[in-house]
Amino acid sequence: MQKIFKSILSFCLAIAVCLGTAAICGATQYQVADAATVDTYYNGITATGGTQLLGQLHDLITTTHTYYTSYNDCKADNAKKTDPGSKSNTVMEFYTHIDIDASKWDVSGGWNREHVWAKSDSNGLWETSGAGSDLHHIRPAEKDLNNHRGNMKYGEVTDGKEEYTSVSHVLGGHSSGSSTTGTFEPLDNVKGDVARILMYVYTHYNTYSNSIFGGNATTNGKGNGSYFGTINFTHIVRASNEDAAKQLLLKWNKLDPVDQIEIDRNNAVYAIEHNRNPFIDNSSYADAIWGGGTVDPNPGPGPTPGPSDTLQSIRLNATSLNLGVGDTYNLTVTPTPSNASKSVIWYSYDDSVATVSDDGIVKATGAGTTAIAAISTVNSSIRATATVTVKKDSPTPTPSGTFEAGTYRLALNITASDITKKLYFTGSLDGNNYGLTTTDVNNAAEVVAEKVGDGYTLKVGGKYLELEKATNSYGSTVSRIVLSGSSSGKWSYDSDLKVLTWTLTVNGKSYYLGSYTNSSGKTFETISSSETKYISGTNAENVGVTQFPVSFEKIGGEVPPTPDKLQEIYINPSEFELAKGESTKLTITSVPSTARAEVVWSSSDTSVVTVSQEGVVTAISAGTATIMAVCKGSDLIWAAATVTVTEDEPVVIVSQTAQAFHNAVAAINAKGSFTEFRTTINTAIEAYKKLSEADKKEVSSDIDKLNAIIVIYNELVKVCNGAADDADKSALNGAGRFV
Amino acid sequence: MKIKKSIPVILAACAAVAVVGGCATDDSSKYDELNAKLDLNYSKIVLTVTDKFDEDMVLTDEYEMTFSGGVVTVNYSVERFAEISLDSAAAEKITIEGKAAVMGGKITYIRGEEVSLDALIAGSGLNFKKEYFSYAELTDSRLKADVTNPGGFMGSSSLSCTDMKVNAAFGDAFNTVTITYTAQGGNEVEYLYTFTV
Repeated sequence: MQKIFKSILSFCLAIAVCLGTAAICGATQYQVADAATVDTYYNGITATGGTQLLGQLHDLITTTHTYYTSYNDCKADNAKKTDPGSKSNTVMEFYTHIDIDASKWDVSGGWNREHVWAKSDSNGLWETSGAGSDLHHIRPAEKDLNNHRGNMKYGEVTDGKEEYTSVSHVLGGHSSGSSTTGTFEPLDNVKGDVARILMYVYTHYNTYSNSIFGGNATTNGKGNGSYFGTINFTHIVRASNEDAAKQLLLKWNKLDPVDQIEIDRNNAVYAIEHNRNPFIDNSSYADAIWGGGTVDPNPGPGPTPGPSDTLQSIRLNATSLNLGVGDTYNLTVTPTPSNASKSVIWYSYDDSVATVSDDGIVKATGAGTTAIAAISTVNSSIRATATVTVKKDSPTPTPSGTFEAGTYRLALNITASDITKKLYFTGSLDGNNYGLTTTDVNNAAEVVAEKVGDGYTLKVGGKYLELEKATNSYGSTVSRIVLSGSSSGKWSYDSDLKVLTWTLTVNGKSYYLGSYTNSSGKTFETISSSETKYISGTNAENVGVTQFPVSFEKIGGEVPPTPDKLQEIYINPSEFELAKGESTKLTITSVPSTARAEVVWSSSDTSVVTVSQEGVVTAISAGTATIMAVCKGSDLIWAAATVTVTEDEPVVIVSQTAQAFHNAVAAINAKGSFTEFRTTINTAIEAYKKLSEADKKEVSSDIDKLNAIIVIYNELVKVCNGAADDADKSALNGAGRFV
Repeated sequence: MKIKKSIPVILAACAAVAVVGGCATDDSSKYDELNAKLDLNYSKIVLTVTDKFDEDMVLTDEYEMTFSGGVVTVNYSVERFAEISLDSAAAEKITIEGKAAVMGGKITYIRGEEVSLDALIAGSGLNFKKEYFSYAELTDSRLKADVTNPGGFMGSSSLSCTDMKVNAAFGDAFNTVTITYTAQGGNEVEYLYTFTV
């Protein structure tokens, strides 16, 4: 639509979205689980804050802690109760929330016990007993991720690296520094969990006589005296002092509110150990003790624990993906209600475009578009899909010249192990025994490539790397590598196969490199693909070429090669939903895939979502916002993604007519044509007419939203009609000459 | 009511001036001739106004003026976008049709829904003046030009627009006058005056 009409529409739609939602931003929600249990358990807590409250809670959770679990109790049997995954016989990994096979105990790609408050940071207070085996504290963690985190302190990482699970390659957090002295920052949706666990451990295992209780704690309960001592938050939190450490944990406590997973877990551990984590039951306690707040004596009911509610729907963390061939993306499922089963079967409609694993990991296999479906195992009619578009990689480098002249390092790709290795030249530069090897040996010289015309020359130490036919000491005809002062041939690059090829033609026949053994008995390993054949004997002159699968890396400090020119970028996912407080990390796909894209991230509405410069999006409040990624140095190359933040607990709609109306309102499209805008509104109106009075109560917020959108539409109509009136008036003015 | 002249009178007047010797066929006089053509007795003039807001947002209005016995009869058909309410989904547009008569400076609505025709009475009308145009191509049968003074040309001081252009086809009388411009709101407007002698 023309400029003025688009500006009217976008402004008013922002209002419409606000009108259509019931979110009230900024209010801290304190939730209490299992009201009946809580009422009884916390009967003796009379303090409203400070050290008095801290002391009372210490007494309570230590005296009710009547069963101290052993370290052995923290394995699969209990982990499946306290941290069940979405599928049977799986456990939920703490930092990523992915499912791990419960039987994969203490192996790479499997899981083991994570001391959230690391043993090495416990001031010597625990190893594998006391807090060291307290189920409120011990969580399943992916083994390699656990190792990476080591005993890093928790904190905020501003310039670190990403930490992934080793097999599923799911992001688990960020870290900087070593595993013994570094800092680990969990994802936003885990920060609150970490904070509340640390608060529990601090409150429980500081001995009652410590000054932190101000004399208000009187006992250590039934635990062995050796379990108790002195621990400070600065032992486990990266902060300048104790107050700063507390403030960070209070911040995380608010950023990531208590969720049903924590509530269920608190109940499960309670059933085993007979004590509870009070900071989950009433998250106002933390503020009241360390933040100057007061206890909310009657916090509203939180998510109801108990048997799982009937699954109503599922949604994926992405509804649209743009990938390059070979890219992967981990789709995850969120059920409605949140405590319903999220067990699904994953299905790809076209494996030639993208495959999907049992864990929801999508892998792009070929250019095209397809859909990935998640089908509930509880109710197969409940499904969610994501569209996957796979772009064909721009071949690079190409003989046509897009791969610019310069100096490059060859990286040799070994198909069998899928490990990229460098291509080195080893052996005497002056003798007759030459070879190419992939191992990094001492004094090995790297092979570099220079583009010449539509092919490449290879050089080692300034001399050309050539192949020639020769006769070895056994009288066999072989090919060998020589270094010469001039180049007699070219290496050509097959951009589809990504293979560097040498063809040496002698007397009309082609020869190629294989492995051979020199007179000293040293064998140079072949670096060619399995198609390579050897030349030996008088009849073994096979036709073929020597192929080295390679990729090119820019070498710094030499004739600066021009990197592959970035043409465009995509954000993945390009459309997604988050619940308030949830986080996800966006990725960038570059075209061509070998071009580098460094971007600046921004959010169109930071009251709805924020985005870090690592691409981590955090949902703040309900609404819709656009995330932009703009390339540094070229703001003409950019991409956008749309994110919708929903309420913590999506509205459960029972009636089908109400659901149909809800869907119709959600489908109103103001971004397309005027016709589509009007048509989608009309569809919603038709659905509205079918609502009963009871239905209307269920979807009252959607009715408000539709009314607001109708107001916007009619405003647009009035503006356009007014402009048409003005045009007619001028035209009639012109015709006034005739009357 | 404006004085309408017949074609022969116009030609005779110009010829007389030419004989006197004061009326050389310079540009200015050609524009005067165009104005004179506007004042001829046409039996019908149809004004079609097209407003384009987007590819699928176009409004077309038509005013058919017929002249007889000192009365101008206006048959009009005006499109406007329809508003929506929760009670009913709406069609894209509504069409307002009607008939009015203009006589003695007054408008009398005969049938149908009323639209505003006041500008027809109040407007001074089209005015071809050389200084209103630039890049003009003026021949014996056509004028194509950029309009640098839209308000003066249209006889409407309140008109605010950009890129107004005119393309008029004529012989002894006008065949068509097409005027296009971009309105302040960004919508593209076209006026088509079609003349029938």
